[in-house]
Amino acid sequence: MRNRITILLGIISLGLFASWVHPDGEELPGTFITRTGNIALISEAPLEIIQANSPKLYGIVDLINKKFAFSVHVTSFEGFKSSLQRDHFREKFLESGRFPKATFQGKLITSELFNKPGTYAVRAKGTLDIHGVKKERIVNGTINLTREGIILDAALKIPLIDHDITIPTIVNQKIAKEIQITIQADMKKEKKKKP
Amino acid sequence: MRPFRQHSINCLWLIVLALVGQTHAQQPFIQKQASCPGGVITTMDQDNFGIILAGTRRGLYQFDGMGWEKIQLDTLDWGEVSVVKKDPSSVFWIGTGSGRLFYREEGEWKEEIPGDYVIESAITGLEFDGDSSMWISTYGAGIFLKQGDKITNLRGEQGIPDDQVYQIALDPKGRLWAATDAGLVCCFWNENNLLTKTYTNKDGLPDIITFAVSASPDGTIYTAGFEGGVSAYNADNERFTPLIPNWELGSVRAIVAQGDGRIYAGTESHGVCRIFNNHLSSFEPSERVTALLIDQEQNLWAAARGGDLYRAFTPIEILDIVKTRAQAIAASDNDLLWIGGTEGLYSFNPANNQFAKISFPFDMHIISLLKVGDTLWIGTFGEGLFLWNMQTKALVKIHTENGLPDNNVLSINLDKQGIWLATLGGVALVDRKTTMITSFKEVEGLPQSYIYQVLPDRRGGAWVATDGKGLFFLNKTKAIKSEELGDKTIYSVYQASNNDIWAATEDGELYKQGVEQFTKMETGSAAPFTGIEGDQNGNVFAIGKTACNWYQPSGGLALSFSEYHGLGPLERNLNASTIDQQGRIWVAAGEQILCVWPLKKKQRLAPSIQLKRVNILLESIGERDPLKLAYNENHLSFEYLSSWFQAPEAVTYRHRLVGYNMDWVQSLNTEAIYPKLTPGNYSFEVQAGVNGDFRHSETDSFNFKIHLPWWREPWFISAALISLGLLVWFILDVREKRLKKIAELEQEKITFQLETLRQQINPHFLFNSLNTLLDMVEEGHQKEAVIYIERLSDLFRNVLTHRHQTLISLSEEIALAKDFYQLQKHRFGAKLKISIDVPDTDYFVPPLTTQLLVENAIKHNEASRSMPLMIELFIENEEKLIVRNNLQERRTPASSTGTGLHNIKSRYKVLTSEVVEIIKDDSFFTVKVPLLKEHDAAL
Repeated sequence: MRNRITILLGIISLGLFASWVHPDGEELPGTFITRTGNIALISEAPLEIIQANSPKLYGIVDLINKKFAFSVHVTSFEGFKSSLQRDHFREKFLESGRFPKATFQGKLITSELFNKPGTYAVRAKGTLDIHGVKKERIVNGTINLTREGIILDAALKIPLIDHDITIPTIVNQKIAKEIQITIQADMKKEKKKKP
Repeated sequence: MRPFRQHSINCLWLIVLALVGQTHAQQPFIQKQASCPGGVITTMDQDNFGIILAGTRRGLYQFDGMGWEKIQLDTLDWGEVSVVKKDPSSVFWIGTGSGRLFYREEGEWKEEIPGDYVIESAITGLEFDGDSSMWISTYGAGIFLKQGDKITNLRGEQGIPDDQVYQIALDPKGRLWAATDAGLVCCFWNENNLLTKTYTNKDGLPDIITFAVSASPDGTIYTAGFEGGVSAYNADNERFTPLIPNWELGSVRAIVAQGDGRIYAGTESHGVCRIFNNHLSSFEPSERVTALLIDQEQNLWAAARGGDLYRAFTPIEILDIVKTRAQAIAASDNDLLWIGGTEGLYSFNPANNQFAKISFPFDMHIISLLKVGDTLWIGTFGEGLFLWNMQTKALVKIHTENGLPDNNVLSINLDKQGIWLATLGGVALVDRKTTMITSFKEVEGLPQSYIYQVLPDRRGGAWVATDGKGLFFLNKTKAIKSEELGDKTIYSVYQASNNDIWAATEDGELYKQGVEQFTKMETGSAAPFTGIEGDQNGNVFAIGKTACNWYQPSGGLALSFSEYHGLGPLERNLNASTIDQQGRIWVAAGEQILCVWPLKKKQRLAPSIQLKRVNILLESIGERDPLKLAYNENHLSFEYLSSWFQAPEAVTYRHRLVGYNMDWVQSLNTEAIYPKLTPGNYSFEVQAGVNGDFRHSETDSFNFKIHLPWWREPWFISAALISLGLLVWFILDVREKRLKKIAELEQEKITFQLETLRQQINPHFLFNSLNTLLDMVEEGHQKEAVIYIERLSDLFRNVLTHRHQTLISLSEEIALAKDFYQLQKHRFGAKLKISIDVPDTDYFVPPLTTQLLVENAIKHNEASRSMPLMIELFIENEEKLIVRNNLQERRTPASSTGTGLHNIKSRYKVLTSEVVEIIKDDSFFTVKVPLLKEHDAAL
């Protein structure tokens, strides 16, 4: 009997809490998540263009507290011209064995409240951790806010030297000193677990 | 305008042509100076001795212009040094990447624990408000304010919108400005309440991400960030305004303001940018610049990739131009310069280095320029004078046909009377309005000569510089020669803002006339000077062939710019300089244009000097008191260092040891050694100068004292002298006493002998002896009589033998006494009894003592058969000889000299400390005579 009352009270309070957080389901800002974001890299060296992308970008963006975090497994990059190129990318340059993940997390620098749908230009400042070397970066991007979620686009250039990635002189002409990264992520609002 | 002697114009042309071929190597504005072994420098500051302290990820490094040295703590590794900052009392502080604070006090680093807070974020900035308040900014924990022992953390609720603070700057009003991702935060006091205000886009900032902030000494706040470049704060409307609209050079990580309007920004990817008067110029290195510093010499330091450190000397800038060979220059009101040369007239915008040729229907070889209002007065070589109205573009030519004395116009100057021209044909004055020309060909005292310059004096009159005829002062109708300059060729004459007249001669001399006459000034290696310019503070800038000198109003040489500053041999253009509205002096020197920034009051004029180490006997003096050196610690060496970044090769030292030699010793070494110093007070002094010039040098000194060895210390010498004196006195005293004693003894001896003799030849004794002898002879005891006579003679002989001796052995003495007794025995018979019980010992006594005592006893006592006189001689305790008799005093006392006993006492007093005891009781009269050993009588 006592147990039932406790459970009932619990359900009621959770329901109240949920309705307070979501009074009418119209509140736009919130936390958005993706596990299938797209990240692409392009290295335009004089002799060779390397392109690769990964559809497994994991990301979370909190528009209320203006925080974000992204992460991708180095090994999830595909689409290299050859498997040799892919292996070089993974093992020689990024040493995926030692540093399997690349991450970028930090805060959004904007005074926007994100209280109505639209496209917002934002800057994300955070710590970029590639190849085990952390660098602080500010990245320009846009957030397209809809009722369903957000679509995030961003691009940045990463000088390899910043992350202690050294290129053998012999392939100097094949890999650019700067790699361009583009991110595109369709992010959905975090689902509330049923109580 | 080119110098020449009294040659033909053709000859002049030859010089011109000869110089056409000269080229000048381009002097880069900023040059790589060093590379820090600790990697990228993120923060730096300079100490009072010019040493740069640089913080890197790997720790703290110092740079003295020659090399790097890592500063390490013995106790711990402080890791990343994220801030280096000098406080108002010149104490160095560092903040680390792990939130720790250290400061350097008297060469030692100590950790500061700021109160209750443990700062766990990297320290990004330190600012000091007076002596008691310190601001600490962090990357992650906001700002801390430490006031005495109280520490407050400002973040969040206190209005600091972001915990990540990139940089802070304290302005002269005590406001703290903090660069954050959410704008520039200003913390200020309002009646003891600390308030904050955040400046964002709404306040004119081009970007709310602000990375850098700097407070100029004049109070202007500059900030810059991710985008939009540098903005300046306008206190009137409390808004920021971007200095350069449409900034394209990316993020700015560091700003430093020079205080004369020049602002330098260190960018993320475009190197150092200079902003002056809203104009932007960008310099090498074209890469990420992480920190900037302007040092005491006005060098700009920029830290870049890989630890590279770049330096630019900012007081003088050299611009290379190729369009024309500049021979004349005039500043315009709108920051534009007019440059005249062999090819005509150009306008030059120094802000963007833009040259524009002004087209005229004439070919002009311009050698002098002056801007008066809207009119540019153009003096040419051979074509006379042109008046060009810059607004209307109207051009008027004035020629010999218009009354100009000559068509070669070498200088143009202005005063109330009009425009003064120096021509190869003499002095001319042109009316500004009517262009009426007054020629001064026929002035009393003014010789016929080429005139190089006419300088109107602000107090009236004009100075005329002639070729080979000297300097003249032209006063209406008369010219007065300045005799001190003789017949020299005068290249240039200038009136400083304090009205002193300066004149430069062709033979390399520089003169200044203050109140009375011209006196010669120091020139260094710069001479001969071809132009003189000056600022409104009375400082004078002389432009020389190989160098340029700044002179102080007093005439002292302040600073010399030379080959070390990129100055090659300059083209000798006479009087081709001008001063613009910002006080910058511009010099036209052929393919180069010099821009000289105003001489700063705080400009360091000589290398710093600092004693680094003092060694005694090759070991560092360490903590020892230098005023307490022992006599054998007399080998001292001094190691010193200086910094003079602009020309380290030109640094020379001089040192002296006051107390040893007052003369300065010049050297290039950074060590001075003094071996074998004698004890004394010394003061080591060292100075660093530039090329042997020590006028502006500071002195570092070290006082020490080498003490005398202890045996040469005054206290010891006086003590030794006193002891010696005492010793001598003592010896003399002892000797004196001994002599006195001897004398006394001698005296006693004589007295005693006398006494003894007197006793022996006492008439009574003789009478008694002779009576006894008579009795013997009468009674027929012939044999006895003979024995008696023998005994008497023996006695007398013994007395005579021993009287000179001090001591005789006891046995001899007793023998004598026995002789005497035998004599007396004959006389007294049974009335006198003597018992002698003295064993044979090796004691001594003064001679005749016993005899005297026996005689004394006989003399003073009665003797009869019924009451015989008993005299005993015996030894007591092996110490004393006792002479005792039974006391039966005579009723009629014998005549007595009283000297007998006294004499014995005196003799003993001289010989020994023991005394002769005389005891007289009812029945006995006893005399105790001490027995002596032979050495007791050493006297």
